[in-house]
Amino acid sequence: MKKLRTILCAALVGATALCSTVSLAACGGGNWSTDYIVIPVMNATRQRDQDLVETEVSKYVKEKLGFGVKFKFVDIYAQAGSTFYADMLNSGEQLDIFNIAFSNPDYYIKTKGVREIGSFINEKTTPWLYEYMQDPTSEKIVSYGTDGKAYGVSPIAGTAYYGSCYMVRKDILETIGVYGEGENKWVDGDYIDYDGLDLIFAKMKEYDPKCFPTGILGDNDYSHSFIAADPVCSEILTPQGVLMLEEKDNGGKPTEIVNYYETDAYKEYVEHAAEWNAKGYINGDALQTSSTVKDFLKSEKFYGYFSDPNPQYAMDNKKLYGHEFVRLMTVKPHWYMGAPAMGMYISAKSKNAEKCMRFLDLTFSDTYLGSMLSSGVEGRQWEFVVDEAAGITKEDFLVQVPEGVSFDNRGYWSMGYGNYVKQAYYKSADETAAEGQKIRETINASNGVLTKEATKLSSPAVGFVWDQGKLNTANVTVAMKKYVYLLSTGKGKKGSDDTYTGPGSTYAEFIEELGQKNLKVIMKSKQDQLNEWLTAKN
Amino acid sequence: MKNVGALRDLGLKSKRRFSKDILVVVLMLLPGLTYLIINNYLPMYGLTIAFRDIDYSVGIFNSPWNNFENFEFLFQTDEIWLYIRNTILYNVVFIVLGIVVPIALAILFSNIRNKISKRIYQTCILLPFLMSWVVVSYIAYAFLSYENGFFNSIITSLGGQKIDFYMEGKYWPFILVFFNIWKSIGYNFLFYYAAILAINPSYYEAAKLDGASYWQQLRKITIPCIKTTIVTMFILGIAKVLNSDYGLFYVVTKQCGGGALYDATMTLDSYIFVMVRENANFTQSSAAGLLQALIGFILVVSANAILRKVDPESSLF
Repeated sequence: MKKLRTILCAALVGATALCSTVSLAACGGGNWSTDYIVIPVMNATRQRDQDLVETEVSKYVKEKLGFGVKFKFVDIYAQAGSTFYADMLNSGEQLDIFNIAFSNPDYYIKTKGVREIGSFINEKTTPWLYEYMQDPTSEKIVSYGTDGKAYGVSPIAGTAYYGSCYMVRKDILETIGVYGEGENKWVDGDYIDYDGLDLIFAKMKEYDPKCFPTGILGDNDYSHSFIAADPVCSEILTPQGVLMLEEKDNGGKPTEIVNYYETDAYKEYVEHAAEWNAKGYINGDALQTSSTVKDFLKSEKFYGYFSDPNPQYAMDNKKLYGHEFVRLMTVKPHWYMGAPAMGMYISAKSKNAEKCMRFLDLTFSDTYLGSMLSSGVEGRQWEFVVDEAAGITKEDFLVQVPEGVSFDNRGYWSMGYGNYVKQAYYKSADETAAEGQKIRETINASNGVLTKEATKLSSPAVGFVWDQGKLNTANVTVAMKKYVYLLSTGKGKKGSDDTYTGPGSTYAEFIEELGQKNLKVIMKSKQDQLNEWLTAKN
Repeated sequence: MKNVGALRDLGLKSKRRFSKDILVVVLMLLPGLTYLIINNYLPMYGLTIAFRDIDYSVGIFNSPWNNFENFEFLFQTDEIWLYIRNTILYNVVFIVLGIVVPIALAILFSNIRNKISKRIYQTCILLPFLMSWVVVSYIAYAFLSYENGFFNSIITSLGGQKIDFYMEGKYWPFILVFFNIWKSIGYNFLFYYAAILAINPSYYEAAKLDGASYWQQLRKITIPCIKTTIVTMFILGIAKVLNSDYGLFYVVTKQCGGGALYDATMTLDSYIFVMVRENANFTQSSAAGLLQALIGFILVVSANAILRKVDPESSLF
């Protein structure tokens, strides 16, 4: 009897283990529903109101398009450059849309992990997108693979233009006597050069020796906003530090691929960053700290940071930190890479490709949906503002979400969904009428100028995706990783000629190391492909 | 057959009884075996992705073969040999100190007679093992930070110049070894302490009667009696000589000091992470993992074979 009991117990445990393991192994596959689409919602942390937003978005989309929407929470930092979407493809778990941010979607295009979308861009399926693409500059919103086919749709957000500013506390500028009109004085939206920044930083340090005028860098590769202090910095974001000198910047010669790190502009930046570091303008732990911009600004010892010049960020800062912020422009806004760097792609496994495109189209055109996805139900109400000059003509949207409880509750990464350019025109509902009007006018004027400037500076290579094929880029990538962050935070050592870019300096070591790698081969490959692409385009 | 013999030795003469007992053993083995097969062996078929060009339109297992192309990326940088050297040397130090320090601690511990003290020390020793590397990275940062670090506060209060620890590679071999030993010592210590406790006290009593000193007892009784445990831990360590803990080498070093510490702290695993993160190519990471496992496997078999020749009783298989 005792023996039988032992056998039964062992059998039970064995069967349980088998069932559990098999069910665990099987749960990865799942069923792919066509009643709803599953979209990624990105943020650094899960938002409190995510479930509410999911319910509301699903209900709204069902009313408009006839199918529901489910969220898949994605940690934006974990996703960036990781194999997250590859895991989704392998496991068979339903995720219809991939929001590929900060990493190259080329891998997913080449491995056929995302599907071609050109056939879905038509008047019936995607009316807003179709209309938008009638504009000659429309290529900015769609990304193409090296095979010339359309694969991704940029959410516009964050990719409409790229620029940079020194976002700084207005009260500090006033205290140190540099705010206003006149020589060595600046107001919001003014351009500032290195000499101007040197002056401001020095005065800040004089005012409070323990302060840091800037130097707010995060512990991930993507929050090194400092790099944006360099007037041509945006191009650094192209892999392997290859800068594209356009015809107008290249003495009338054709668009040319050059080594960004050997340009005078980069050298100038390195010298300034090193000086700033030596004088204590940059936090000594800039490269290591895991504190955020928010943490630093709350400490009251950090007066500014380099940032996207979005006027709404300045407004946000006022709410969050109790100080008015102004933007001193350092990098001229220009159209950036577009969807190749950040965009919405449809999973090759999706059985809902058309539905996905209809959904994405709605996020562009429908303010209510865009606001819900960007700000959540606990966010703010936004009133749609008509602006003929900027091409904003619809005035039939008024967000119906509940009153915002706190500005800190502002929901999701606005780059995720929705038309960011348009959102910047919305007026927050909790402002007084007069204040709101003033803010709206400021934003309209500022953002309108930025967008127009950006359009003028649109690179001829927007939409170009380099196919590296079997070319080895690891050497150059390793060299970049070893030196670029060091140099951008001014941590490089001086050379024998007492400069930070002279012989024997960290910068010189970097350039020498790049020279030993196959950067020239990479540059030639890019140049050849770009020439071919430009010829085909024209 | 060896096991059958052993069971027979236990007096299981009856064939019927023998079959029943085997059945019980097999059934008891079933849960673990099921887990092992499903979790550790079935997925091995997936290793074929290390030799394929992934094409999601046809699925992983129908994707075309590309021979060894996925392995090439590992050797695309000249620095790879430096990273392999770092990995091996750090592991050699970890293996040696990971054996010597816990054994010394276990021996010292076996001499403590007060039960309360014993429990307090045991908890203190084990506590770091229960912390994640992320927590350890913050502890390290609290000590090593340039602006507000404990060490720099002391240095500046004594009138010295601050040290930028995260920018200077020369400090990190010591820092990493310290944190690795500090964190793992509690876990390794348990094995050796258990082995020491299992030694028959009569050996020591007999040795004392023969006039053996404390050191002689250690050399002639303690160390030989825990030799099998030492060998097992050594072979397990050897198997992972090409692996490195991402938490220690990448998180504690704050992403290799943002680049400044690459030469001193970059290891094979960290390099694979950095490179795979660039292009999200998991076929390459599979290839690297397979290579590490194969080399680990060869090393374990070789180490065991050598041991079998030198000291057959200490070999694992």
